[in-house]
Amino acid sequence: MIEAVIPPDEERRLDVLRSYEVLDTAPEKEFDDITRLAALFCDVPIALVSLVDRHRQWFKSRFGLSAPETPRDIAFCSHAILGTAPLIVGDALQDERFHDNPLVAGDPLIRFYAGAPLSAPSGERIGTLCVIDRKPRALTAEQLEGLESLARHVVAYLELRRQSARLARMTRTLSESEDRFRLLSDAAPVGIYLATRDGQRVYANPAWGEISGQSSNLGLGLAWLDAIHPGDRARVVDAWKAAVDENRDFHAEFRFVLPDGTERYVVSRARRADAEHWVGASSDITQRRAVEVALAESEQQLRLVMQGSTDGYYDWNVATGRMQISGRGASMLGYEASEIVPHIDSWKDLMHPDDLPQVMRALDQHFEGRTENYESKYRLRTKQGNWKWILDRGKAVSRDADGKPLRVAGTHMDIDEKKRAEEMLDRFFSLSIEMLCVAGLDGYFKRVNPAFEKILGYSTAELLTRPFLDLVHPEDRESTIREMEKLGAGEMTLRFENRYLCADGSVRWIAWTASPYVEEGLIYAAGRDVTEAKLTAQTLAESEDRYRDLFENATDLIQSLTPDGKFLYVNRAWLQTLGYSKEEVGRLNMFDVVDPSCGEHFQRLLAGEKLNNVVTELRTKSGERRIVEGNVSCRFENGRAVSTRGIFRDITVSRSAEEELLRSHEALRARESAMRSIIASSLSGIVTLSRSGSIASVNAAAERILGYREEELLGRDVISLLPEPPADIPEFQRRSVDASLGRVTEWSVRRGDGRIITVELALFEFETAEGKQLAGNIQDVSERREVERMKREFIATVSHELRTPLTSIRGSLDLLKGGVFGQLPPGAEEAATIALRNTARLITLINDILDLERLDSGKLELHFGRADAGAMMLAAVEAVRAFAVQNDVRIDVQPSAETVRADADRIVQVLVNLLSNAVKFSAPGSAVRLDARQEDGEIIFRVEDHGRGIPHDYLQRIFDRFQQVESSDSRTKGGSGLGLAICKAIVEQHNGSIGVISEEGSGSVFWVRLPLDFKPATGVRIGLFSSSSDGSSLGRLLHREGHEVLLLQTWREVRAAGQEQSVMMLVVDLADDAEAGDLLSRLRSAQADRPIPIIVVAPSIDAIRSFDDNMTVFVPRGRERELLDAVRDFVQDRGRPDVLIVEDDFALLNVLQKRLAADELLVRVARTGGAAVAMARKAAPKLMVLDINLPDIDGFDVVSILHRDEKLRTMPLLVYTGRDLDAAERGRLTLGPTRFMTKAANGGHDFRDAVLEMLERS
Amino acid sequence: MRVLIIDDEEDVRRIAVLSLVNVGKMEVIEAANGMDGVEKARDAQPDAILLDVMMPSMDGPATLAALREEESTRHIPVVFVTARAMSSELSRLRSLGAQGVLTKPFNAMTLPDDLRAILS
Repeated sequence: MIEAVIPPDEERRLDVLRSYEVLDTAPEKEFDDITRLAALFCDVPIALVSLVDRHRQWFKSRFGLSAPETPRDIAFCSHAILGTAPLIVGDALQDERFHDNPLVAGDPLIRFYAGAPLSAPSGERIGTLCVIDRKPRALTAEQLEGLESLARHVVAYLELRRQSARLARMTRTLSESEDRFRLLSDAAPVGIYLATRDGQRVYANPAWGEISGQSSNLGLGLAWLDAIHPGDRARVVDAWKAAVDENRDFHAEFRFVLPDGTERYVVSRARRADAEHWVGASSDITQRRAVEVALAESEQQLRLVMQGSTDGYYDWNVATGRMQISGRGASMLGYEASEIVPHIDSWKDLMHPDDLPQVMRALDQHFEGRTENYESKYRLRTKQGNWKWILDRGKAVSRDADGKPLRVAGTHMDIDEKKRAEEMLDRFFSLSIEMLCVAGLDGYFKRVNPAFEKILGYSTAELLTRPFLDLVHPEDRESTIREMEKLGAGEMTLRFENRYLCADGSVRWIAWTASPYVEEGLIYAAGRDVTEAKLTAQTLAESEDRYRDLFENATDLIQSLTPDGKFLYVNRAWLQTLGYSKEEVGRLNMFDVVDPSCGEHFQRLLAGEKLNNVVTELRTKSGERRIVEGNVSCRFENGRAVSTRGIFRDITVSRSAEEELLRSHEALRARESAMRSIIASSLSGIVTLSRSGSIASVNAAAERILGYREEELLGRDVISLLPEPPADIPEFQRRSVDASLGRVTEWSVRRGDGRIITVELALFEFETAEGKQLAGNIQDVSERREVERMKREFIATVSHELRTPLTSIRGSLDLLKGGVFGQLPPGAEEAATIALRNTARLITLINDILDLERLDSGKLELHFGRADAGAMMLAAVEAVRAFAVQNDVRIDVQPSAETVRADADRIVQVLVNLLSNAVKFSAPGSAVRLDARQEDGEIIFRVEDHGRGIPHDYLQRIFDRFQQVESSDSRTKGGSGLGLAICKAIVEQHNGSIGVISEEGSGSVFWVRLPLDFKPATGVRIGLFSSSSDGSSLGRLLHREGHEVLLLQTWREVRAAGQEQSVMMLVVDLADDAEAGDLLSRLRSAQADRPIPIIVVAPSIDAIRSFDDNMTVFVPRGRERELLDAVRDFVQDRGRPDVLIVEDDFALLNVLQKRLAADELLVRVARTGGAAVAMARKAAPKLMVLDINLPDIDGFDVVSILHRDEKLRTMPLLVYTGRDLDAAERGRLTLGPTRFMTKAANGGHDFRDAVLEMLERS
Repeated sequence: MRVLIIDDEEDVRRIAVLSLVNVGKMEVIEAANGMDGVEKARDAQPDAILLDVMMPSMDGPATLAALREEESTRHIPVVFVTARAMSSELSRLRSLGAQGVLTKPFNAMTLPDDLRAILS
């Protein structure tokens, strides 16, 4: 047997099933009819309405079966509810789901089953209508269709059943609530009724019956209308109809006439309940009515009494708030009594909100029993909307047991006029800027206005509590007391002045007017602060003088006229300009001076107009016309013109200034034309450029230099003159302008004839009306450059060629004089000596020329290091000592203790030169002095002699080449005339300066200043080539770092720059790795004898793979920092000897590094033999310091590997080891100059000395 | 001690010979150019060679290279003699594998001692 599964919506299905409330109910005919019909129609013995509950199937109707239910797990219907279509089991024994089902095997022995599911409207299948047979069979299509249709009927019945059950429940609930309501209604003390639209009572509670006097029938139907007092009936009927028609509440007060004839006052209200019904309630108000009437009567009487009074009267029921106000009370405010709702709230509404709190306070006090009567003054709003003052007096006329007031009666009195008069006075009193007060004859103020506080600075309270005499200035007290006495005697005070002491310590003058009321003991006084007036009277006089002065001294012409044209006042400038005297002016009429055309102006002035910037003419006494410009106005008093005033400036002169300007324009034009002819005839080319770079003008020289005619050049882009146009023209322009402005730069230019020349360009900027313009002064320097180059070459060659014959001459003389071929006779010996001396001089001359040429071309290398100034001085003195002795000149030296960074040899050379000059020009027996001192980070060497000094004329050019004071000196003293020029060049390369102080006849002092901490200028000249647009930013970057950047546009320029002496480094930015190798190798081969560092900026390191020498460095594109570091490394390493220390002991390595730290050395370290070899190969050091015992390969191996490398074979080597080495070992450890040091035996200082010494030698 | 002098300038060569022979008491062989010098060095096997740097056709460095290539002359110490006295030039010459450099004009009275000092 296979059990049916539980449907997925089981819980909901069960909920739906239960909602039918059909389970376990009694059989119902409707369902039984259906099962019977189904059994008949299908011709089967059994038909069931089976409802599938959680654990069972329960039969609502069963035909042919007695069991009321079976367990769900064996029910066929459990399977049938799983699908929407009927479940047909033809033969249960043949069906694996059912063949062993107890209902098949046993009672009722099912063989055939057909079940149509019962689907609720919401879709859940709650059971089946099924037919069962005890033998196998089938259903016809009609039978199956019939079964399904009947199943739908079952569901329809179930639905019907459920709805009628709900209805029944609702009805039950309704009737229950109705019962409750009726109970309530019956018990209510007010009449309650339900009426139809036409007023018929369909329900009424007993109270209603009673009220309407119809208790027998509760007043149903329309009977109640008959019970209404005939006088009220029509009104009530109309009110009912109106309420029903207009759908609003019914409200009426009327009388019922009771059967016994008495009248009953009733108030009745009704409200619409539904479309047909109105629910109403009625109360008996007969008693209340009676009280009201009684009250009204008594009030009527009172009112009649009060009517006669001008006061209003009121009666206020404190509990209800009702407040009857008399007609008079209302009419005070312009109302009819009926217009004011008789309630305390409407009274309060009329009250001024500011007064309300004070009224409430007064009321409270009275209510609490603290006042006998209640009284307050307040404002009420009249009907017209203004405020009226009322005096309200009242009294609680009845109180409850607790003493709480029940009723208050009182009067309203119109006090408006009185109050207003008071208020007005008060306002005057407080607003007055004069000090108003009421004072007592007792010496105290009784009342003061705020002006007192303001003027004297005391608070009102203080003023009222102090004797006012205290406040009077001590000097005025006596007179004040006298004045008080007069007042006390009934006299008035008029303008009595005394001084008061103010709170801030100042003193103010007060002038008083006062009148006494002796019988009241009061003084009414008004005081005025006259301090300012007293002061200004004096100041005014001064200021008048000042203004008159101002007018008098003004350079403008000032005049004042009466309306009839007489002069009231004119100032000094007016008199001077127009040539009149003061007396004459009095007799003048305005038109004697003012142009008659101004008559109209004058009328406008008198009409009140102000005229500004009027230009007119004034006539001088002598009849001359002055043009003036100025402003005029008129002064009015009480609407009448009193005087006109005018201020004019004489602009006659300004007019002629314009003419002056014209003249200067002409002068300017003349100057400009002069400039033009100068420019035109100038020998240097002058070109002006527009901002866009096109040529705006050229002079004749520029035409000649550039080889074009003017018309060919004008408007032409200046860049087109370059031999090769740059790739990015705007960028190039910008860079070039930045780089060239204000300097002299060199450019290659293609002339009109195609020849490429070198020009020097001085580019400058000038301002014109159209904005900034560029102008360049150009000079063709191709020839000059060529000549310079040739000269240098010539000198170098000649010097060399001179040395060769000198070698033989000197050698011969050496040998002769040295006696190699026998002792020379005395004359020959002397001749040989002279020849030798002059040979030496010639050699010096040649050496000097060579030195100077090298200094010029930058070929002279300086080796900077720490140099001991004292040692250099002594070395120099030592070098000239023999010469000094020979000339009988003493040299005094005071060695300095300073250390400088310098090329010691060169500085010694300078000092020697200066000393030998000094000796040369000193008289025998005199002394030369060399000293040095430190000053502001510099060391100053001085060489002082007492020779004959240098003529003033020569001082300026003594450091120039081939300059000697007198040509004859050259013969007598010997010398090339280049010495000082060399000194100057050397000193300047040290960033120092050299000079001389001399007085003819008394000697000279040559001085040399060197920076103590000299570092070679960090900026170098760098050639930059860029194939990408990054070039400009690289250029700017390098420029910012202080380098001079030479922008290279083509590879030809790069190659040329690579060979140029001044270019220290190349930065090459390559777009493509592929071309790099080829380009670089060509570049390198072109600069074979002077390789310079090349920094390659490229996408990847492949660019320089084949170029792994220590002069080429790769920097990935975009890493600006690395590029700058690389440049800096090269710049710093330039000329700095490098030492490679190979040592595996870390501690020792540190010590050795420290020993060398102070020196200008580049120290690199390797801690293994392998690293040492690799590093040496990458960049051959100037010196290698080598330990023998190393972790990988030992020192012997390192040496033997390096020995195989041609470049490294001659490298100087310092073997620094703890081992004792025998001769054979030493032989194996030799490269270039080699030295051995034992670690144990040598301290650090020896090590440093050895290193420095070896570096110096190499 | 036998010294080979290779110099194209006869006067210079003669002075050097006079100096080395008379002052230094040395045996001297002369050669007027590099080619001749290499040949004489091979044949005479001198103890040292004084080699001029600036010579037509085969200059000093080329001659040195030739001497170093030849098995029989490779070991002979060479001292350059140059009229260019720049320090960079001197170090370049030393780096080529010469034992030392002497500058012109040399002092004829001290030339033998200077040479001995370099060789020692």
